[in-house]
This record gives sequence, C-alpha cells and structure tokens, in this order.
Amino acid sequence: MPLSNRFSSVAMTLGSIGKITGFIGLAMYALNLVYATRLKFLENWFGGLNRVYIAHHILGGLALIFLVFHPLLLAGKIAFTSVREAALFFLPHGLTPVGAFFDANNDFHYEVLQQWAILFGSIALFGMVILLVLTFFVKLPYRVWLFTHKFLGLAFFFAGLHVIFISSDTSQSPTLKWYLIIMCAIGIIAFIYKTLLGRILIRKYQYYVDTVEVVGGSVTQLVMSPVKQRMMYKPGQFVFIRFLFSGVDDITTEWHPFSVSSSPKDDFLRLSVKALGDYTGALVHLKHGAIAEIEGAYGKFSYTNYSNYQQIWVAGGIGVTPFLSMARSLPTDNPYKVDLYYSVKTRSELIDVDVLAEISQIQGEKFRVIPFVAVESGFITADFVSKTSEGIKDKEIFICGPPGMMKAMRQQMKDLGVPNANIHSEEFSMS
Amino acid sequence: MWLKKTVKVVLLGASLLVFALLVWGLVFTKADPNVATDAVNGSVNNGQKVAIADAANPAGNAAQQPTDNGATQTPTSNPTIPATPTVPVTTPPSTGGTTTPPTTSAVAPLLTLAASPMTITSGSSSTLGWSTNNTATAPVACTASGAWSGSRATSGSQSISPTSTSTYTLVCSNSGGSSTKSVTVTVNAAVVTYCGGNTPCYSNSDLAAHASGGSCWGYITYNGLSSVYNIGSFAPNHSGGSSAITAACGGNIGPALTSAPGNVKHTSALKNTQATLNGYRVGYYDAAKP
Repeated sequence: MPLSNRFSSVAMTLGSIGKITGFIGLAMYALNLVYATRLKFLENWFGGLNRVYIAHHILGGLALIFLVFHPLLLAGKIAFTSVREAALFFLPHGLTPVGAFFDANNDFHYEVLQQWAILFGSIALFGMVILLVLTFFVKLPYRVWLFTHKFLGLAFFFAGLHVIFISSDTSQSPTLKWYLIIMCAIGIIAFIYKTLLGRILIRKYQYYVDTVEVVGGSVTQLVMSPVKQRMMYKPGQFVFIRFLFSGVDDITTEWHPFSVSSSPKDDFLRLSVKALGDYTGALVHLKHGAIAEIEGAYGKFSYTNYSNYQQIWVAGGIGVTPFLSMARSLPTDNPYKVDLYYSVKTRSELIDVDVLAEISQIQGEKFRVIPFVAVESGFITADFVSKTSEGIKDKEIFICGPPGMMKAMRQQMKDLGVPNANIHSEEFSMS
Repeated sequence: MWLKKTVKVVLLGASLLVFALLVWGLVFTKADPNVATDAVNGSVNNGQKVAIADAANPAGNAAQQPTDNGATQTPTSNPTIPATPTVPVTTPPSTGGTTTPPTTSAVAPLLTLAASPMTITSGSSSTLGWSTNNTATAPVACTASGAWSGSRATSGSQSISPTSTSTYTLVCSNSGGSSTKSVTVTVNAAVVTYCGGNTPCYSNSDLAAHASGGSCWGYITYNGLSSVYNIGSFAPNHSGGSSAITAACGGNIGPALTSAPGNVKHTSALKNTQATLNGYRVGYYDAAKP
C-alpha cells in the first residue's frame, strides 16, 4: 500500500498509527528485557547500574503506554466501519474448529489463525497491564513483587506468538518482518539469560562471614572472606548479596545491594550497612561462617573513572561507605587531591573515623577529612564546601547520601557554577 | 512522578474506552435482517419473489423492520440487489408504500453457487463455482454438505465427477447470519457406440462362440471397419480348399489371406476378398464391445 494511502482518512490514520505503536512498543519491551540483564556494557551507557534501573523503570512505563494504544487505535479504525466489529475485536472468536488448521482450505486457515493471533496478543497485553499495575500502583513486599515481575517474560513470549501469527499488510514487508523477528529474539534471549538461566550464566562469588560488629549506633559492619574465588572490584562499587542459610528469621533469601567499604587491595570484603528495616536490622545476628552469595561488582561511582585529580567528596550519613572504599584505596604515591566532607546528624553516627584519620595522616594534604555534624553546625552547604576547599568549580565532585541531601547539594553546586557533568552522585534507590 | 501519572491516565482512559466500546458495539447493535433471494447473480427476474425476514426477530419490530416483514414482494420491474444489504423494495402500486430495511453493522454474506455444466454424462466432470461477499468486515466460514462435505474457502471452485445425479449444498455464515445455496448436477448414462454404430455388432465372445464347425466366423478389418463373415459357409466354395479357410476361424482372417502362398490370387487388396465375401457378411466386429 503506498504510504499516502495509509494516512488518507481519519480511519486509515488511526490504523497506521495503531500499527506503528505496536512496532515501537514491541521494541521498547524487548530493549527493557535487555536492560534487566545487568550486562556490563549497560553500566557504561548509563553511568552506573542504578541509572540502568531508572531507565528500565521509565522504558517499561513507556512501552506499556504504546502497547495499550496499539489495539485501541486499531479498534478505532474498525469502528469507523462498524462499531460492532470494533467491539468484537477485543473478544477473540472463531477460534474453533481447531481442526481448521489441519485442512487444506487456506482461507479458513487464515481466519482462524488471525483470531488465535489476536488471542495471544490479548493475553500478552492483559498480562503486562496487570503486572505493571502491581509495579507502579500496588505496594507489595519486595519478594512478592519480584516474583510477579518475572512473569513479564511470559507476557513477552505471548506477544511474540502474536507477532508471528498475525497477518497484517505490514508483515508482508520483509524488512518489517525481520525487524519483528529480531526484536522478539533479543527480548527472549535476554529473558532466558537473566531470569531462566541466570543461576548458571551469571557469575556469583561465595563469601563467608568472618566478623560482625556494630558501629556508629546502628551500622552493621560485615567482614567477609572468599570461599574460593575473590571478586574483583573498583573502589566505590556495590554488590548484590544474599544469605541462603543464615539461620536468622528476618534475613530472607532475596538479593540486596550494598556498597563495599573495603578497598580492592584488602584481603577481606567489608560491607557497612545501616539498620533501616527488618532485613538490614537483622544482619547483626549473622554468625561467623554464614555463607553469602555475592554478585557484582557494579557501579560507576568511583574516583578512578575520572582523570581530574582535584576532587571533592561529600558524604551524608551511611553514604560514606563508597568513600571509605575509595579512601582506603588511595595509593601512597597518590596524584589525587581529595577533600572528604563527612556530614552526619549527630556525632555518634560517625563511623570509621579512626581509619579516615589514619589515611589522612599518611596522605597529608592530599587527603583531608572535614566532619560536619548537623546538630552542631546545621546542614552542610555547597557554599561551605567551596570556601573550605578554596573553590569547587574546576574540581570533580562526588556526592553520596540521602536523596534529598544529594539533590540539594547538586543544585547548590550548579548555582555556584559547577558544570553538571562534573557532579557525580550514586542514588541508592533504583527508581 | 510524571511517568506514574501518565501510565495511570492511559490505563484508566483505555479501560473506559474499551468498556464503552463493548457496551455500544455488543449491546446496542442488533443482528441484521437476513436477505435471502432465490436469484443466483444478485438480480431477480420479473415475477420472482424476494423474501425479507429478520432471522433473530421474526415477529418484527415496527420501528426497525419493514412493515411487510415475512410477506413476499413481487417486483414488477427488475430491481437489482446490490452486494451491501440495502434492499429497497417497492410494493406494487395497488398496495402502495415502500419498505426500506435498515442498514446495520454486521450482515450475513451473500452467496452464489453455480455448476457448469449442469448436466454431464457419466464419467465426465463439471465445475462448481461459488463466492461470497462481506469477508473483510466479518470473517465468513463456509461448510459443504450433500454430495460434498468439509469446510470451504469463502470463494473458490471445485471439479466434480458424480456418477449419478447429485445435489451440492453450501452454507456460508458470519456473525451476522448465514446463507445457503444448493445446486443439482444431472448425470446421464454414457452412450457408448460400438462397431461405429453399425449393427449387428459382435464381440470377442461372439467370435469365440463361432470358432469352429460348419458356420464359423472370422473378421477382416478394411479401411478401419471390421466386418464379420461366415467363412464356414464359404469354405466349400473356396478354390483353395475348405481347410485353409477353417484354419482361420474365430478371429482375424486378414493375416491368413495375406500370407497365403504367392501364386494365390488374393494377395491383391483386401477389397477383392471383401467383395467376394460380401454375401457371407453376418455383421460387424468391435474388440471393445463387452
């Protein structure tokens, strides 16, 4: 059909846009399945795994919107001819006799096949809607939500069946046909890799718990040793960890992300986790020898990624953990000049100050630690940082802390003339 | 967050639209009147009747149905019935009034079924052809019955070779109703002629029955026609002796004639022999005759 015909009337335009939304929605869905694989190249694209997940969240919502419009617009086109037919469009009929598939009558074949294709599409879309309503609007316990979310792979599979069996004039074009096949393949392969075969294909490291101690009031420090292979990581990265046989009630078996506070040079792996909920609060009960599985390391929040040696690190509360890793890893002939601003609410919250003090002694002027206690001095401001560090405009800024603090600090720094690209923050949240 | 709000709006809006569409499309539209005619090609001949009936609502609803629902109309002129089911039928002047069936959404398909030729002789074949309209807006399914069976495409042709007179029926239906057509193909017994129509015509078994004795038979094929002679009767008159003749009894005597010793004067054209034997002809021969 010539392109001009496809938009010749309101009905034709609706139909054409309806088909386009289908094509785009499918591609978004497939791409989103890739985003969920945690493959390393994605971190490079988005500047950190947390950003990949933010993209995943957004793209998922957009895919849903496009795919909802797909049948709606096509039905709209049919409604111009017959409202009844448009209504019937949503109710697959003529699915039997299934025996039609096995008779040589090709036209009959076609009609029945079309209805099955529409049925598969309906299943895919309804499944997707339900699962995304559970994601966007219903508050579920994390484990339950995670279990339901994996069924989006099944919904995609039905979408693939729909794509294969539907007979539309656009599927006559070989280019579009290949496009559809490739999109479906990419999505299915990504889903199989991550969700179905992830256990085998994605590298996990086994570590056991050496010591558990509580510091800074409510922070549990876990020091762990590798059972066999050591994980390689950069200072400032984070890992996903799970305990399968902890013997502790509230330590459930799903994966949780935590920043690593040890340096890659250390023999032990150290995690410093603030007790904010049931799980994090229960970590203190882990026994020596408890086995953990670790997946990682992820994250682009590391001073080593940038060549600007003039750096300012701003830590808020438990956000100091990546900086602890980074500080510990500063080499002795360190070319960097770092000012670490460690801000907490009360002085008792400070952790590992002794370690930081020691590093500061070794590094001298090249590593300064400026603690900032809110109850004593109020909230830390970019102004204060700028004055204390004698200018911030040409320096590389790293911020990690509560979301509100990170947002405010970033804005204040931009207001002082720091280019946005020089400010790096690691959002702990994934959405 | 903007995404959450947009998703919410889209989902709610879509649900509302689909619900409204389902209610409007399924509850507030009715199935169509079923327009069946006994015309084959969508036209009626003067004097033919057109019946209008709503299969779903036979009693009729005055607001929706033609006022003469169920009654037959006899057009005095030749109205053509278009493929889309709007059939205005004008009642004859004496009764007055016009009826216009309403157009509604899904309509039963119009079906034509024909056989060509309608009469065949046993052993030859005819071709059935059929077509429906309306397949684009509402999927049509066709089922054959009678002398043929199974599902059929919405249009097509099929070669048939019935051995006796048979009726072929096709029912095509969609969500708006169904149409049924039948066609009868007449099969006449084949007329086979043997001996080119000449009589009496004898077969191999006849010859075998006269293969010996005083009146044995034989045949000669000349110019495509095989004639049977009572060479047994001729034998005594044969100048070459009767045994030479009777040796050839019961079959083709041509080879015996042509292979006779050289000085015998019937190596010339068989027509001489034919002429001589003419009085002894009893009939004609066809190997194909049972």
